[in-house]
Amino acid sequence: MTDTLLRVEGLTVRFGGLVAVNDVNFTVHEGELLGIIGPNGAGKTTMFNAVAGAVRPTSGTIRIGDELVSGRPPERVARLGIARTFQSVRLFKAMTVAENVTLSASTVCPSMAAARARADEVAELLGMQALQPIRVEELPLADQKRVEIARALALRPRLLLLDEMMSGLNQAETRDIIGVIKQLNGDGLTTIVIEHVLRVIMELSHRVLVLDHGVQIAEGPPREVMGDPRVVEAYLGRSAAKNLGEPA
Amino acid sequence: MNPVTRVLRSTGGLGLVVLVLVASLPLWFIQTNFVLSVATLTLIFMAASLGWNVISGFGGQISFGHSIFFGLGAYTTAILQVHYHLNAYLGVLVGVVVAVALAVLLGAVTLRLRGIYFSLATFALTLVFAILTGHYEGFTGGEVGLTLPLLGDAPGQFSFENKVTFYWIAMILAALAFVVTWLVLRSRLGLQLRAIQADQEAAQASGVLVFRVKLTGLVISAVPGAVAGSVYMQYIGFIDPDSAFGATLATQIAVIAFVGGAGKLWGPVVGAVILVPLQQLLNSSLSAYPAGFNLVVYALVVLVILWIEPRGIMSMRIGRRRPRPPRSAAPPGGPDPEPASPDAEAAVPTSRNGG
Repeated sequence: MTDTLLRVEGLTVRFGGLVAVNDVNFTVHEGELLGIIGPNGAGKTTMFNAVAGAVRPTSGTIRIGDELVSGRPPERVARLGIARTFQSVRLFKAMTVAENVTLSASTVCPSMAAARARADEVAELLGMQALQPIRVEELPLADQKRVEIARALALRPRLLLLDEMMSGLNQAETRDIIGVIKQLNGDGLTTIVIEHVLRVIMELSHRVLVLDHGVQIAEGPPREVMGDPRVVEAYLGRSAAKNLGEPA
Repeated sequence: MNPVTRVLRSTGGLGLVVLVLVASLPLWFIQTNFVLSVATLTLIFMAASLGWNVISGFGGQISFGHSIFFGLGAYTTAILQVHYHLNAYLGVLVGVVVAVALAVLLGAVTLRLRGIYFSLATFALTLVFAILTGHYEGFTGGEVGLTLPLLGDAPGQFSFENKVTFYWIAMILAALAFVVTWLVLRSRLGLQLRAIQADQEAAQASGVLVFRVKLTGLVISAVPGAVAGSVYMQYIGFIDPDSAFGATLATQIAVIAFVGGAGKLWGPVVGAVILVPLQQLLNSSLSAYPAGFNLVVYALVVLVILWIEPRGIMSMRIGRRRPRPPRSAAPPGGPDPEPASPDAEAAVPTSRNGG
């Protein structure tokens, strides 16, 4: 009953001699929330970049619905309905929140009036109407992350890619963003989340994909994956101290 | 809100003062031909610099060769008039078409590249044009230049005895160029150009068709430059490779905008009002000194202004009411049409990230 929205087959990305992503295969169903974890340098962000069109795959295919994504430039991928956030916030800093969100709305709306209306709609959905006239560079990081989500949502995406939203946030702010992600996914938005904080992945994901050195080493429900000896060895073995050391 | 009040609100009234001053210049000094000529040239270069602002100021693709479009406009009208006896007004139109065609070609080749390549290509191309126009003597008059036939008072041929007429034509040209840039700034194109300047990858991730937007910006950017060149040609009646395509004009169009404030709606207006009269004054008053001395003084003035405020005069705080309480809401930046609402300040959460 669940349709496949995203299908990634044999995805490989090489940078010179380095194989950043090696023959990765997975699907994401409509309405699903997929978590991607792995130690630093596992290839998570590279894979994201490939899905978003920012990095051209060396081989393999990526499809959203029936449309081929791989090989298209990022702006076309965005218009096919794949919206993303960046690991380190990349907003148009000197512009207001409203302008940031209106900008991405303007690429899918027929007129500027429609784009402004769309930006207002998104701001209301995320409860950030009051931030609209403020320049992004004057906002605290947590609010900047929300603006990045808003900017992605303005595209009316079919798939939302969230890259390490929680980095740099305190506990209360992390709660807050988790709430936003749950709300959006609850409304039916298919989402892929890359996250370093295991607790967040465990709480959010329907299914988890584990990457290590570009290779997909496990996939399944969060509890199951965490018990997989290969994951414990590859992921927790090396960076357990760092990740389990996060405030619980 | 009607457009006029919006402009005034978004520019704090300073722009209006400047505009009134410029507009009234010849009315104060109408007897002085020198002042009238300086004012006319100011408006002509202002128009070219306003055009530059679209692709370079808003879009961040810095052109050091906008003289290409100025020179093409000037030479096209002159050649058509001298060799083919075409009506001068038609010549202006053809000049625009030629400039637009070249903008499309130039953009198609260079705007896919990022970084400094566009700037280098524009600068190189204008110098290539200077060489070409110098070389094909039969057609362009070579290094000697082209002189328009003296037609006396022939309004139908863009020729006027009364030089005040050219002043008003230049005024209309500058005003039109201003309105075009203002409309661009308010439009989808303007927002997308600014986004490309701020962060091209983020703009792409937001669905901005980067190449198409830059190309459109460049084409729009070329038009005021071409018309300015044509009007300059009809006004001065003479053009040579250096005054059309030379490095001086190429950099001047950009420097006017940088000094006034690149990317600011009023930047080229303010820059032109200060720099063009300065340059003309230096040319005439320092002519007794060794050649180039006037340029040294000119460069020093430009450097001092940019040393005080690298973002240009429009970003200086003088005479602008810009209160900045701690953690305040954003004061609207120059190009932002929407002023920050007073209650925005209270809405800014004060928490910083925990780390």
